[in-house]
Amino acid sequence: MFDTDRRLFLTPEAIALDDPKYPRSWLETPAPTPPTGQYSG
Amino acid sequence: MPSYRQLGKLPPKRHIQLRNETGGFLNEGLYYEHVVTTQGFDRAYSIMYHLRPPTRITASETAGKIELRKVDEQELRHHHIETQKLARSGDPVTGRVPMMFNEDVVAWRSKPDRPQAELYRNGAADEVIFVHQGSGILETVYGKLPYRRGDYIVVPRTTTYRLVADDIQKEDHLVLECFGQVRVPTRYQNPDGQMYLGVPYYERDFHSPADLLTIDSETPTTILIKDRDRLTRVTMPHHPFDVVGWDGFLYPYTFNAWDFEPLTGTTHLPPPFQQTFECRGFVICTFAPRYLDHHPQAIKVPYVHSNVEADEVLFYVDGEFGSRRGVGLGSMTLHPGGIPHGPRQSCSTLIAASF
Repeated sequence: MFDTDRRLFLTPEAIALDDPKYPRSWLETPAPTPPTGQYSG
Repeated sequence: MPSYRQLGKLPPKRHIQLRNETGGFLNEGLYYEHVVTTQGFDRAYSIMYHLRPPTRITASETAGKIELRKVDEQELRHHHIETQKLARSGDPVTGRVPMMFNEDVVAWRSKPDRPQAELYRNGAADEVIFVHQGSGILETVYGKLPYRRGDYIVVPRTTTYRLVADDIQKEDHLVLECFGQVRVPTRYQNPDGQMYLGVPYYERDFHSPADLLTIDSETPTTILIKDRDRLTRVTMPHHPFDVVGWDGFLYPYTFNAWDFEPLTGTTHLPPPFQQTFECRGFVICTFAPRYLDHHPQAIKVPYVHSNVEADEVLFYVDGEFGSRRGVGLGSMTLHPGGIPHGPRQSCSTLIAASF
C-alpha cells in the first residue's frame, strides 16, 4: 500500500490516557472467546 | 476524488461571464469565478461562483499557535490509549486534542461540549473527520453536507466550514489532519476514472453537498485559518458562504464505514483489501463486518505481523473486539514497526478505522 520512514510520535495528551502496562495488561487477563460463527458482525 | 459533481448555477463554459441579472456586487452584473486547484493546477479542481469576490479581506491577525509536543519515549512498545476517557471540552475545532503525529498526519480526538464558535478553514491539510458518534450538517462553502455516525467526512484543504451538530453533547470524532491529499486508491479506478466493478465501494456510496448554502450578507465575518501550527483570524466584509454554483472533482464528501463492502477469502486477507483512502505517507483502512474465512482449517483471525516500514494505529468503533480484553469502543492502539503484533487469540473486530 505504501511505505514510510516517518515514525509516529505520541503527545503528552495521549500518554495521559495510555495504559502503561499494555500489552502485558491484556496478556495477563483471561483469553477472549474466539469467533465460532461464519460472520464477524 | 470520487467523481465529477455540479451544483447550482454555472456558465456553459469555464472562464466566461456568469451574469448576475440582479446587478450584484457594485452593480457589476457578475458572479465571481473562483478556481480551487490542487497539485499546482495538475490534479483535482473545482470552479465556484460567488456573489462577491472571495478576495475581500479587511483584517488579518494572528490567533496563536498550536505546537505539538513529542513525548520522549524510553522504550519501544505497543500502546493502548483509552481515548474514550477523554473529557468533553471545547468546540468541534478548537477542542481537538492531539494524540499522535508525524510529518504526514496528525491524529486528533474531539469530544466537544459547545457549538463551533466561528467559521474554520484548514489551509494546509485535508481533514478526515471520522464520526464515531453524532450527526448533523457540515455547512461549507460548497453547500450543506449531512453527516451521521460512521461517516468519514473528507474536507479538502481551504474549505471553509462550520460543523453544526444535532446534539453537540453526543459528538465524538477522530480527526486526521492529512498534509498530503486524501484520495480514493488509484487501483480502485479504471482508466476512465470510474470505480472498477469488485472494489469495496462505488460512486453512489460517496455523498457530496446536495444543497447550496448561499448567504447574501454584508455582515463582517471572521474565519479561523489553520496552516500547520499557525492560526490566523481573517475578517471578510461579507459572509463567505455566498456560492451560487460550483462544479469539479474537489469538494467535501462523506463515505460511511458501514457502506464498505469487505472482501474475504478462504483464508485471511491482508489490510490492502480493507483500504479505504490513500494519503501521502499513510493509508486509511476500514475493517468492516465480514464473512469469516471459510477454509476448513482457516484461522479466523489476522495473523501476527510486523509492519517493518510503518506504524499501525487502530481505532475501535463498534462491536466486540475479541482479541484483547480492556480494549473498548473509542480505544486507540499504536503498534510501532520494529516489533510484531497481532491478536492474542481471536479477533472479531467489527469496524476499526486504521491508519
